[in-house]
Amino acid sequence: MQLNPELSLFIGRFHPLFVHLPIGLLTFALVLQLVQWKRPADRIQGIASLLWLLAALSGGLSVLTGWLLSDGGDYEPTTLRNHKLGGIAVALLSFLVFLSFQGRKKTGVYAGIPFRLLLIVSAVAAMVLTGHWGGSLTHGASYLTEYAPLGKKDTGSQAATVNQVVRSLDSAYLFEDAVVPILQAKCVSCHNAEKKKGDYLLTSHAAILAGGKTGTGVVPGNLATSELYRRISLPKEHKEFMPTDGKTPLSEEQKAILEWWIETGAHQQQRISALAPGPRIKEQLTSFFQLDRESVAGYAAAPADPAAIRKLLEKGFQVNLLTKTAHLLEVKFNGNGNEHPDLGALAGIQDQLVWLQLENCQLKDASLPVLAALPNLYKLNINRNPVTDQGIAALDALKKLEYLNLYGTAITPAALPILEKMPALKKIYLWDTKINPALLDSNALRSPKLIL
Amino acid sequence: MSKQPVHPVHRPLSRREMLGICKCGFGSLAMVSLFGSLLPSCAGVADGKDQLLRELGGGAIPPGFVPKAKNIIFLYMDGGVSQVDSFDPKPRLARENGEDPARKFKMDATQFGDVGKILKSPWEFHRYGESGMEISTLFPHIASCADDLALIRSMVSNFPEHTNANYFLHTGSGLQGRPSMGAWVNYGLGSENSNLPGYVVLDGGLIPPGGLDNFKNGFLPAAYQASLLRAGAEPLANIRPADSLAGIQEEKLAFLRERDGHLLKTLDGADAIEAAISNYELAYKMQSSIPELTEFKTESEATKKLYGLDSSDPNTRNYAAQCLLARRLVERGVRFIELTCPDIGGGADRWDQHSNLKAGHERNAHAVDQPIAGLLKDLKMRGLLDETLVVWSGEFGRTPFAQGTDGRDHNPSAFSMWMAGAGIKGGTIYGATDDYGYRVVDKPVTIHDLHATMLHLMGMDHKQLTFRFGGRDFRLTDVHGNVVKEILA
Repeated sequence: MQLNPELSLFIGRFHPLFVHLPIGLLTFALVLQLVQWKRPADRIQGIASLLWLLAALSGGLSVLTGWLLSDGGDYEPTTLRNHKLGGIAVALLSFLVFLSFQGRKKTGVYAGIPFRLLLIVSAVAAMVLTGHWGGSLTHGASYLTEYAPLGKKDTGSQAATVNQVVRSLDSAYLFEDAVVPILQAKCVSCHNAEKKKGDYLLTSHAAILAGGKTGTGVVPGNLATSELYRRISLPKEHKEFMPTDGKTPLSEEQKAILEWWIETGAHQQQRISALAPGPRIKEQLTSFFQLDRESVAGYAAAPADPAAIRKLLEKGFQVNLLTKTAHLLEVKFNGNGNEHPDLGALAGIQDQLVWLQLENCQLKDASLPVLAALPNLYKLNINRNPVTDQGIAALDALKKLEYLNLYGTAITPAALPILEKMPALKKIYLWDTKINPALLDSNALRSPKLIL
Repeated sequence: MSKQPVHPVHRPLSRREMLGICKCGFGSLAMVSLFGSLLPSCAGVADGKDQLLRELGGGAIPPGFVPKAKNIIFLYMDGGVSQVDSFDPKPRLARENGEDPARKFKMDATQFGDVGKILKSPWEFHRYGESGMEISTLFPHIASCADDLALIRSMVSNFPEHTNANYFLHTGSGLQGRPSMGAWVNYGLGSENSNLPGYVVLDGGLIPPGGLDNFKNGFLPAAYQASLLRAGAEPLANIRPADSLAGIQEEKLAFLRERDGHLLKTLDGADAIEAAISNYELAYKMQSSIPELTEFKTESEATKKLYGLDSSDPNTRNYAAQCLLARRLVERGVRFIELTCPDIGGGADRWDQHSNLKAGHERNAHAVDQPIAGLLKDLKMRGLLDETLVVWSGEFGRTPFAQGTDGRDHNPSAFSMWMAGAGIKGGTIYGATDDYGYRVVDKPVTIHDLHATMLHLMGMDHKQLTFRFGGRDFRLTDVHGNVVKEILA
């Protein structure tokens, strides 16, 4: 059969349309056969005969289109051969059953029934097997049993997503925790041991690097010559764009992660932290692992002790739960200018406490070292309190602090060098203090993170 | 026949009582299985989990991710501000001023049908801030905050008429009776302050068309409806205790609580009784918290001036007091605050200028412009803008052609709104209208999208925030809504 390859593929892709016809027809014919066996009637015989003919014809059509389709694909050869032979067998056996009915009509003899029964059973068996092989070719061999309730689970297969395990960016592995899940989600359904489209296997590190028909898959450190990257970064309309056939393309985030993995050397076992991620990719990875949803700056804690929370509530603090699964807490105390909070009670939730607001509550310098012992604070409001530069010095110990509200305090420009040294600080509120904008302009420490 | 008094204990159960008791037993069993999984595996851990959650003021559904905003201030521009005169410049209107709009584009029917000529904006537009956002001279103060605003020029509504458009904007449905967005937020997150309601509407003088149903709880528990406060000497009716001695009032309340408690037991914890008890408690607490809240003595003169409390325009002073009150409510942890417009009178009802656009819009703008800018600046200096979302919007826009000679009719096909503060990328302009500002041509944003975005910033997935009523799960966004990610920081 020499057809123009495009036309042959075009026709071939009607295969999925036809294959289901013989399955339905054969099943119905089998049912009729059983009914006939219980209470014989000529009418049923007539219908059954027609059904077998239709099954044979649609089977033949399926074989034809299937043959054309198999030319264009890279299917696992053994399964493909079985599927082909099985398909031919179904069509032929159906036709033979049809013929056996014809013979009976002419001679009026019911002989040959055991023979026909044998033919029917073989046809149905061939259909079941062929269908299964066809399914394995399209969806992969593990498709059927992946979610089976019993039996041993292949944990390495597609169902395993790693996002549930990754708790922080620092401890995650780039290849294992990010690259593999991305490929699993978007690529492996066609590039696996059974299907192996383009002769490219994406199920092991070595195979990913090796590549397939059209070139080396991944060249560590070189995006330009990495076929995998070229294919996923082509314009969507391009013929060679992957994933093909209207399957969901990789998201920008996923692309960026694969890109960064290749650029940093396509290592198999390297922690993300060891590869010195920049702020942009860090953000993307944080979002990929969904660490931004449930935690603050990639931090999650164990649940707090209820007794410690009760104690805080008794002492007039407001406690709010910030996230559902990361167990992080926000604590507020508004003293209305005269009440002073009992800060000692905060130690009980130091693992969970990330936001602390102590406004207008006569907080003095002497209390600040207590706050400095809360290692996970990332947002702190101590505005409208008589704290001074000496007190601020203690906050140096808060390595995660990103936000510090000091408006209405007694601090002076002398505090600026201390604040400047704090590593994570992004925003400082200094309105209504002795630091005024004019002073700041002349100060070499002027920084965008100060807000007056 | 002697009628012997029967002691409750010895009286046999009536059929109704029997059913009542049983129903609750089954009901609560079902409830545990329904909601057991929803309770956060939080601080509470094993013992007294839900109890502690209640103490933490936790809502029905805890945040799904770390919230950017903790409070929302909704600046409702009653009546519909004209987009082509405020935030959406259209030079073509000036070029074609006075021409027949029907020859320029296909027109929808308008509310009043009195279609006039194309009407250019009486105000000029200038560029402001580093972002170069174009804003008209109607809002010189707000314009000075341009780099804090995320401006959406492609808003659309479903309704061309005030009442339905108001219900739609406030509740996500054009029909009366659905819960307001403030009620949803409090239902989802719970209150942060046990002495104040979580949803407060500041009454500037105009209750929007559609009435108080814009601010109701609908089918959500009654505790989540808005409380209406006025800025002024008596912000709430009967806020001053009627009893001269505090002790007497407390005793009265204790007695009430005891009696209600008994009734509650006999009625198997009826929802209405429980709500009444908590209402009395909250009302009592508010008698001390409200006067403290509305007392501006502690505010500096500079702050009052910033808001425009010293303005010669009484409407500016009115709105300034509302804005300052809004900030004070935010400081006290009130989740959702809506400001309504002042009644400026003199034929300029709301922003609804069907005639006399220039005078009416100018007077309305003068009332709100400086107070809003003051609010944004004050929130920013205090660091509150990092956790407060400020939303400015009307219920729809106005036509680019005149109604009569000098007015503009309703236009739900395009209007502008802006957001500022927590989680918002300042200086952003999103979406666009056609050359006349009549219809949206790029990236339309629906009211549902707005609600989805607001809930998102509060840490909630709008698809997860549901309430089962009348046999199905309801959402603020019904079956619609996409978060407008492009305006998020």
